[in-house]
Amino acid sequence: MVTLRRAFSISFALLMALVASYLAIGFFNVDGLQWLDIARVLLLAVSTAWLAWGAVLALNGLLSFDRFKVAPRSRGPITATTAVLVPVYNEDPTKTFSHVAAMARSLARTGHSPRFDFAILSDTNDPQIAAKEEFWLARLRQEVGETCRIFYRRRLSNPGKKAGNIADFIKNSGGIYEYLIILDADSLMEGGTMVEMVRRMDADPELGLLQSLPKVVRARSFFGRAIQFSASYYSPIYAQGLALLQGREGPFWGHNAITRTRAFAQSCGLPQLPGKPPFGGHILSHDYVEAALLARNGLKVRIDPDLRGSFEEGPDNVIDYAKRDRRWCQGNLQHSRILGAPGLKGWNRFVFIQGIMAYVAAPLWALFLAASIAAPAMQVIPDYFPVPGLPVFPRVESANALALLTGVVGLLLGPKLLILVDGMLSGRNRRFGGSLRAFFSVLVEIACTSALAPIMMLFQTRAVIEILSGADAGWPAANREAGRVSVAEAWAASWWIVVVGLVTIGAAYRLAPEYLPFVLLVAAPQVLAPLVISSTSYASMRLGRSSLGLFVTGEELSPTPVMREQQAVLARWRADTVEIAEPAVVPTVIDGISRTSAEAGTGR
Amino acid sequence: MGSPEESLRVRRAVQESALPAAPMAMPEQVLTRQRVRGLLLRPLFQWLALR
Repeated sequence: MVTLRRAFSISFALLMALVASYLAIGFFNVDGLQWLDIARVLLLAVSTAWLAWGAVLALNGLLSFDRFKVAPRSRGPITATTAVLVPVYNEDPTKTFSHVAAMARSLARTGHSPRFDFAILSDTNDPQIAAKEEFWLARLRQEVGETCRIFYRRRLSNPGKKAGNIADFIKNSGGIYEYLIILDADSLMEGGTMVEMVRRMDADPELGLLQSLPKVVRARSFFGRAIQFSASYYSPIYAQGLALLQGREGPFWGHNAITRTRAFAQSCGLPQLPGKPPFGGHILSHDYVEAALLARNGLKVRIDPDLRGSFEEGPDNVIDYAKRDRRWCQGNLQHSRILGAPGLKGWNRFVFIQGIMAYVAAPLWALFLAASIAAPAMQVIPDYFPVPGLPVFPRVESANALALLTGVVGLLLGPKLLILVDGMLSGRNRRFGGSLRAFFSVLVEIACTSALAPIMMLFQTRAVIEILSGADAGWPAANREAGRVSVAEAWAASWWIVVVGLVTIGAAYRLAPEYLPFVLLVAAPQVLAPLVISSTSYASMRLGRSSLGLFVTGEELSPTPVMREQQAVLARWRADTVEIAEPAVVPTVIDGISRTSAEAGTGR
Repeated sequence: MGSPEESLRVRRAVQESALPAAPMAMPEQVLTRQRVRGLLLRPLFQWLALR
C-alpha cells in the first residue's frame, strides 16, 4: 500500500511537471523555440514537480481515513527508564529551565516521574550565560524538588555541535536508559505525551524512533503568529500525508522525539565528512541522517501526528527565520555528500533529495523569472510573409498561458483552500475560532506568504550561492526572544533585496513590458522588503484577541496545562530576578573559553 | 545572590547534578563509499604487468 501511494504521489508530481511543460512549450513556441525557451521549460518542469509534491502530500493527508483517529492510550505502570535530553547553547537559561520545571511537574502529575530523568546538556561557551545556567539550575532543582532527577553538564568544547552533544551523553551515561526523549531548548511537552511515547516504544520493539508533531506556540509578532497558525492549521494534514508515504522510513526532526538508546547508539554514530565546511566536516542537519541510519539498520522510524501535547517555538521575525534557513540550507545541501552512502533505503535517499530541493527550488524560480524577462529580447522578428501573398500572423496561445498560471496558483493555494473546506466540514475550524475566523486567517496568511515568498526566494537563493561558493554558516545561537525589527535593521539585512527588486522591474520595463504586471507581483514585495520585514515583526496579539481572531489557534485560546505551568514559573522567576542581582559568579567548570556569544555566532 | 552562601548553594547544585556514569559504545557509521576509480581497469593492468 505504501509503495502504491508513493508511486501515485511521485507520478502525480511528474504528471503535473509534464502538463506544465506541454502548456509552456505551446506558449513559448509562438515565435519558435529558442534555447532560452527550452531552459525555461526545464526550470518550470522541475519547479512545478516540487510544487506538486507539496500539494500531493496535503492530498494524501486530506484523503486519509486515519487522521481523525487517536490511538487509544493504555494505562498501567511503565518499567523503562527514560532520559529527557535538553541540549542548550547560549540560550536564556531562565526560559529554558522554566520549560524543564513545567515538564517535570507535568510528569509528576502522571505518577510516572520516577521513571524519567532530565539531563540538561550544555554546550554554552559564553561564561556569563554559563554562570547563569548554574544559578538557574540551583533554582530549578529547588522548584522541582524530589519530583524528577535533574542532571546538568557543560562540555568544555563542543565537537559535533548538537549531534555531538547528544552522542557525548550516550557515550558517558546512555547505559542506564532504555529510551531518550530528545528535545530542543525551546521544546515543551506534556508529561502524558512523554509517557504515551514510552508506551508506544514499548509496544513495538522494532520501533527505533518515534517523532511527534510539535506545534509552534508562544509567537507574538504578526510574522511569528502567521507561522504558528500555518504550523497548527496546515501542518497536521501535511504530516498525515507524509506519515502515509513514509512506511518504515519516517522522519526525525531533531527534537520532540523519542528513540531507543541502544539502537540509536549502534546506528547513529556520525562521522566527520571529508573536506572542509560547508560540504565537509561535521554533519549539520544530523536528524535526517540519523533517521536514515536507523532505517538502514532495520529499525522503524515513525511520525505519529495524533500525539498531542508537543510544542516548540519559532522565529518571530523574517531575519531570524532567514538565519535559521541559512543553517538548514547548508545542512540539506551537505546531504548531497551522503546521498550515495552504502545501504540506505531508497526512500531515505529520496528524502535527502526533497530536502535539497526545498532550497534549490528558490534559485530555480529566480532563474525562471530572469529567463522569462530576458526571453522577449531574444525573440526572432516574426516573418509575416513566409510566402509572398497573404500575411501569416503568429498564433497567440494565451489560453496555454492562462492554464499554466492557473495550474501553478492552484498547486500553491489549492491545498490550503481544501484544508479550509475540510475544516468546515469536519468541525476542525472550531479550534481556530470557527470557520469565519479560520477563513479570514487563511486569506491573510495567503496574502502574507505571497508578500514574503519573493523575499524568502532571494534569501534562499543567496544562501545556496554562498554555500556553493564555500561559505560556512557557523553555529549561531538561536534568538528565541527576538523583539521587533526596526526599519533600519531590516534595511541593513535586506537592502540588496531592494536592489534586486528594482533591477528586476527595470529589466522587465525595458525587455518585457507586457510581463510587467506579473513581474511586479514578485518584485514589488522585494522593493518593499525592509518595510515588510519590519512591519511583520510587530506584536499582533491584539489582532488575535479581537473579534477578528486573526491567526488564533487552539493553544492560544486554551493553553494546555504544561504551557500554563511554564508561563507561571517563568513569570515568578523573572519577577524574582528583578529583586536579585544578576549572577556575579563564575561558572563552576572553568574551561578557559574566553569567546563571547557574539564571537561564537558567525551568522551574517 | 552574590553572597558566599549563594555561591555555595549553586556550586553544590552543580556537583549534585553530575551525570551518572554508564558508558555505551557508539560506533562511527560508514557514510561514504570506498573509492572505486580504476577498479574496472585494475585486472587489465595486472594482466599487462604479468606480460
